[in-house]
Amino acid sequence: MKAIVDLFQEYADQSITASRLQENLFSVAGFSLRLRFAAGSWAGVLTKALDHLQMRAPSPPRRQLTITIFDGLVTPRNPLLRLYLKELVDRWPNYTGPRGELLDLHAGPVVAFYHPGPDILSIVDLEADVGFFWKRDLSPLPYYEAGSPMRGLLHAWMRKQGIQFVHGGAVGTETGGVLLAGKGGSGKSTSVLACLNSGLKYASDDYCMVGSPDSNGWQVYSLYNTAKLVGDGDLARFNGLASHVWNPEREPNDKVTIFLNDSYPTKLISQFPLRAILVPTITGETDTSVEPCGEGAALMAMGPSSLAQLPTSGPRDLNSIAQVVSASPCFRLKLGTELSQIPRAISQLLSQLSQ
Amino acid sequence: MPVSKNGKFSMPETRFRINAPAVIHERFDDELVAINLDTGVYHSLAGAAADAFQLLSDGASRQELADQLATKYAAPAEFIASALIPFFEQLSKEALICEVDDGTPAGTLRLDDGQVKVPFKPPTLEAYRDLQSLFLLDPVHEVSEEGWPNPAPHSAEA
Repeated sequence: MKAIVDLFQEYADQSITASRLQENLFSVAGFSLRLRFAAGSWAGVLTKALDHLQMRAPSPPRRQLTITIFDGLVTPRNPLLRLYLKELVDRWPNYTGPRGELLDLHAGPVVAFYHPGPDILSIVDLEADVGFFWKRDLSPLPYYEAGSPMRGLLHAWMRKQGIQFVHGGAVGTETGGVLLAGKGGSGKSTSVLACLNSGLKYASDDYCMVGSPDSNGWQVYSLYNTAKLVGDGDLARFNGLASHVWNPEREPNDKVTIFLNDSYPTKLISQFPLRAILVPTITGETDTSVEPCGEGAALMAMGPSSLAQLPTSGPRDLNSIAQVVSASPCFRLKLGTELSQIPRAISQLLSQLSQ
Repeated sequence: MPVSKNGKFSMPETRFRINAPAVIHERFDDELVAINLDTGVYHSLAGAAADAFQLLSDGASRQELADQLATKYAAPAEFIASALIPFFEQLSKEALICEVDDGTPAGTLRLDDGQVKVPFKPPTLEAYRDLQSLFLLDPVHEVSEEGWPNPAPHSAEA
């Protein structure tokens, strides 16, 4: 499988030589992420969600993942690769497993998957620390790819470094915060955005990472500064966000997408110690309250929805999420309709847990 | 001819195991979460259902499971074995278990949580299908009749 990585490296270099290189460097969960764009290949779109983690200058030596982002408008010189890509795009069901894993390439240290529709091929070599994000054409990226770019690649590489991707919101301060676990529609985004005008800072709306790098316990790491809301009605509940919507012209089923680094840059936090896991539940009542819940309920809220959105997730992910759950107090966040009560309830809980 | 625990001669029962690697699971106390990565359906199992499912990790027949569950739950093994019939049907229907046909003997089945005389509720399986579309590939695919690198007409608007 290393051979395919070499072929893609050659193709990526060919594509960059044919255009103009743009590079961006980010600090993600204590690691470096270097993105190399062939000009025209969505640099302005794919970096927006990561802008708050951008590094102005190289940091001290630490492990780095380099991902090259390019498109299929440059035809690969290698005839085998040319044939493979044509076959893949035209007859992808013959080459992919049920979750998009590329049957011929996904093996050993090479993680490879394909997303039909937008026609995105993702490959990462976990030993060489290189990845490729290839899109067939220059058609616009789906809103979810702009909002949570390259999550499959980052999930696979970060897992190798002991950092776990989770589907969850995250708010807190430098001294500690909470993960909000739940599938779409459970109230994660509402809870997180309700905290923007409080003392709590935003780390995540739906995807973040959790790791335990030292004796300080589990840390939550911010990844994307993206907020996603279901529609205009949802948006109207949050003053000040409407003017920052990234996709005012959108397809009917697309979510309203907002990059909070544009509108609330000082309210973002890149990491905090994990103090509790909250499972939001919409009650329809006015008031918000917090009550203890079982670890099983927290795992049900966080496990399946995290794994569902990552094409190469598996037992290690579920086990890792179970470890995070097992190490954290779990609570049900019973969401009321008066949004200002949500940050108060979370802050009170954090205060109680720190005593 | 094999001999069962009650001393009667019997044919070997069909044995089952968890359908790994497609099916993964984790357990906390009384609750177990299982996900079938091939179907995108996930499940919650509690009480005797969680115990039974966990015991299937090593492969077991329905009677072997019933015998083991009877050491923890306040019900006779025969009653538990009957209650396991619809449960096994549910597990099979959701492709969470498969038959073991390699002739390997059962592992050591043991519930080691030290609990006894726990009231028995027939095991059931809850299935959640709301994430299937996220787990499995989006079938939408747009390409022109000429195929790559010729995009469908509307997607050429870069």
